[in-house]
Amino acid sequence: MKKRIVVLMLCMVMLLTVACSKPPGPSPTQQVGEPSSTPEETAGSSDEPIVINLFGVPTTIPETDPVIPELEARLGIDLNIESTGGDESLLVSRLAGGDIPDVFRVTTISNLSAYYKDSVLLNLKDYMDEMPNVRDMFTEQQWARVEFDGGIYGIPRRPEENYNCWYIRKDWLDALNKEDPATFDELLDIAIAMNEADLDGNGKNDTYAISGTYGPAVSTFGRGAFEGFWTAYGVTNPETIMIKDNEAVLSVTLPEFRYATEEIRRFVEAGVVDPEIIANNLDSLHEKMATGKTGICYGAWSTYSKIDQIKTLTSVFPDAEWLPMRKQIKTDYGVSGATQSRSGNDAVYAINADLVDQPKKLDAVINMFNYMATEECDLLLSFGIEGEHYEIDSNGTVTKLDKMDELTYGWGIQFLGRPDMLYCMTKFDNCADIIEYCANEVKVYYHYGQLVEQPEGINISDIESYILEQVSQFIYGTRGMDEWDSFIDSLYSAYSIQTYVDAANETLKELGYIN
Amino acid sequence: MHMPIRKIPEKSLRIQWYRLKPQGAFMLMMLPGLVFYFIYLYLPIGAALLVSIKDYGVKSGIFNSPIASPWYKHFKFFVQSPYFWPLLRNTMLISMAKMLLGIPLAVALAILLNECRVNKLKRAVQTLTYMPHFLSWVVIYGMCFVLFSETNGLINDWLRSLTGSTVPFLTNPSVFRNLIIGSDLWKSTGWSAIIYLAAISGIDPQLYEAAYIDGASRAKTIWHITLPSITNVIVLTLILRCGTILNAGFDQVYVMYNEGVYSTVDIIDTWVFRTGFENFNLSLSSAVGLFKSVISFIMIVTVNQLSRHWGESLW
Repeated sequence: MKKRIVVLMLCMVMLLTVACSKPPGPSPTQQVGEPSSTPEETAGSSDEPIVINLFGVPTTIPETDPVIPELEARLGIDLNIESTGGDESLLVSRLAGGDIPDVFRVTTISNLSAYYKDSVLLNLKDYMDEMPNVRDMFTEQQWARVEFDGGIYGIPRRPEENYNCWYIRKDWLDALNKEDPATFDELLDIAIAMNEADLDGNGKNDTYAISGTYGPAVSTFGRGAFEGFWTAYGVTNPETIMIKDNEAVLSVTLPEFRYATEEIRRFVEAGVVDPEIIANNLDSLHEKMATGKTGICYGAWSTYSKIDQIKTLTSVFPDAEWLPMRKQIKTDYGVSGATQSRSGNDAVYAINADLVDQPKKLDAVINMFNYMATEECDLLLSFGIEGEHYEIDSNGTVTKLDKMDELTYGWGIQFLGRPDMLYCMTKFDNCADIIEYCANEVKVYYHYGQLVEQPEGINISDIESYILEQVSQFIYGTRGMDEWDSFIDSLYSAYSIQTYVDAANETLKELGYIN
Repeated sequence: MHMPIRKIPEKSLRIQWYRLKPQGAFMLMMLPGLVFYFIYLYLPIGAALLVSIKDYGVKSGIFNSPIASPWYKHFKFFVQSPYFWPLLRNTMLISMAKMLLGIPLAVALAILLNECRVNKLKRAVQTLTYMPHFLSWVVIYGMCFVLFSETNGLINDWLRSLTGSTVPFLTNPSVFRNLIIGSDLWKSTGWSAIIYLAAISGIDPQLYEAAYIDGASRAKTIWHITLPSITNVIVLTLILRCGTILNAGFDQVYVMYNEGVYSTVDIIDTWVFRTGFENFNLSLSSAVGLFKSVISFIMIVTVNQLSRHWGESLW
C-alpha cells in the first residue's frame, strides 16, 4: 500500500514537472503580441529582424492586414503589436507588474506625467537629431505638451479637424415645411413639430426629437448631445478647462454655462429631449435614429455619414436623410459649433527607458518613428498598398480603389496621426462636402484640461464625474435650477477646484496659451 | 440544559506527530495546495500592505519604493475624498440588499423545487432559473436596455399605452439601483438555490414520513422539518456573504452604470478602478483593497460571534 502511494506521488511530481516546464521553442498557440522576446534573443544574430513590442494600439488589427507586414518589410523589423481598445488600465496593470513594453500608447497627459515620475519613460531629447522628420512634424506647443522638466517623453499625434455639428432628419424637415433653424426658438418649434407630427407613422406618441449621447469630453470627442447647446453659449463641456478673458476657468462655473443649461431645461420641459441620453451608446443611438424615434442629433460625420452608417440609418425608413444643419444657431453669447481638446483628442506614444541598454533595438525604434513621419509612410498607413488600395498619379493625387474600404482599422495604426483632410476626403469620398463643412464652417471651441497635470491632493477624475453627474441632474430636473449656486459652491468647498484651476492657469501660461 | 464540561487533556493541544506519520503521503499531497494558498493568497496580503503605505513605483518595485509621507497618506486620501461616505453607503446598500433578498429567495426557490412533485416541471424550472448564471453582464445589460429603455423598451411601451407615462428605469438614480439589485437576483437566485437543494436532499425522509403520519400539512413540514434542517447551511452562506460585504459586484455595475446614476450606484470598486487604475495610482488601490479586507474581516468575525447564539458558526 505504502509503495503504491509513493509511486503515485512520484507520478504526480513528474506530471507537475512536465506541465510546468517551458516547452522548447514558441508554442503553436502563442498569440501575436505575447511578450516572447528577451533582450538576448533580439540582440542576437544580425540577420534576424529586431522584435519591437508595441502595446496599446486602440483597434484590433485583423490577421489579413497587409499594411503592418509591409511596414515591417520596409524597416526590417518584427512588430509585435498588442491591441487594448484604448483601455489605459491594461497598460497600468502591465506596468504594475514591471513588464514594460518597448513602445506604448498613453491616453492622458496626467498618466504620461505619472509614468515619467516613475522613470519608466525614455527622454527623447537626446535622440531628436536622429529623428529629424518627427522633430519637424510637430509645433513647439505640441512638443511642450509632452515635456517634463526640460526632457521630452512622448511623441505627439497630429490633431484631427473638426468632425462635429448638428444633424437633422432632412426629409422630416421638408415634410414639416421648415428650414434649418438659426435660433433656439426656431429649433424648439421644429422639435415640437417633430414630436407631434408622428412622422414615423407608428400611431404612437413616442418620438423625442432631440437625442444623442452624454459623457466626459475625452470619451465623446466633442460629440455629446448637448455640445450644440453649450457652444452656442460660448462654453465647452462642463468638466473641461477653457480660456475666458485670458484666464483658465472650469467651464461649469461660468454664468454662460448656467444660461446654456437653462436653455436645455426649456427643451426638456417641452418634452422634446430623449430622457435617456445619458444611458445611450452609439449603437442604441443608431437604433433610435434608424427607427424614427428621434430627428435631431448632435454628432460627428464619422459616426453618421460613412457608407455603412448610412445603411444602418436607412434600414427601416429607406427615405430617411440624416444631414448636417447648414445654419449655425446663434445666441448673445456665441454661435453653436464644436468642442475639441487643444492637445488633440488622441494619445501619445512613449518609449521604454530601459531600451538604453539595448542600443540596436533603440536604434530600430527611433528609425521606425522617423520613417513614420515621412510622406511615404503616411501613404502606407493612411491608404494601404499602392496599386491594391489606392493609386497615385504624378501630381500626387490619390485615387481610392475599392479595397481601401477594408482598412476600417486604419486610424488605429496611424501612429503619428495623418494628413487629416486628404485622408478623410479620399477615403470617405461619399460625404466629402460634409467633411469640408465641418472642418471649415463650424466654429471650434477648445478646451485645455488634458494639458494639465493633476495637482497633489486633488482628484481630477472625482471632480469630473461629480460635475457630469450633477449637470445631468440639473438638465433632467432631478435638481432644480435654484440649487445651481449651492452646487457651484460645493465644487469649491468639497472638491477644491480652485487648486485645479490655479494649476491650469500656471500650465497654460507656460505653454503660451494665455499671457 | 447544561452540557457537562469535558476536561480536555493537556496533551492533545500539541500536535501528535506520531499520529500524523502514517498519513505522511497524504500530507505530502496536501502540500501543493498549501503552497498555492501561501503564494497566491498570503504573500499578496504582505505585498498589498507594503504597497499601500508606500508611493509605489514600477521601477523601484515593492521593496525599494519610498514610504509615503505620512505613511497613511493613501488611506487619508480615500477617507477624506468627498465620495467616501456616498461610496460606502452605496456599496453597503447594494450589497446588503443583494444578500438579504438573495438568500431568502434562493431558499424559497429550493423549497418550492423540492416540493414539486412533477419531475419534468421541476427539472425544467431548475434549468431555466440557473441558466442566467452563465450569461455575462454585458448580455444582461443589453437585455435590460431592450426591456427597460424609456424610448423604445418593451416595458415602457406597455406602460405608455396603458397609462400614458413612462418610468426612467435606466436614468433615475433610485430606480436604477433597484434595477441593479433586481437583475443580480434574477441572475443568481437559481444558481444559489442549488446549495440549499443539496442540503434539503440530505434530510432524513423518515422525518417527513413521521410528520405525515402525525397529520402534519405540507406547510407544517416545511416550517418544522425542512427549514430547521437547513439552518446551518443558511447561516454558513450568510457568514460567507458577510465576508464579501464590500464587494457589491464590480463587473455588473461597471457595465451597467452611466453618469446620471453615480449618486446611487457608484461603488468602492468602480471608484478605485477609475481613480487608482485608470489614473495609475496603485498605492491608492492597494490601500482601499486593504481597507475592504479589514472591514470584511471584522464583519466575518462579528457575524460568526452573533450566529453562535443560534448554535451555528464557522468556528
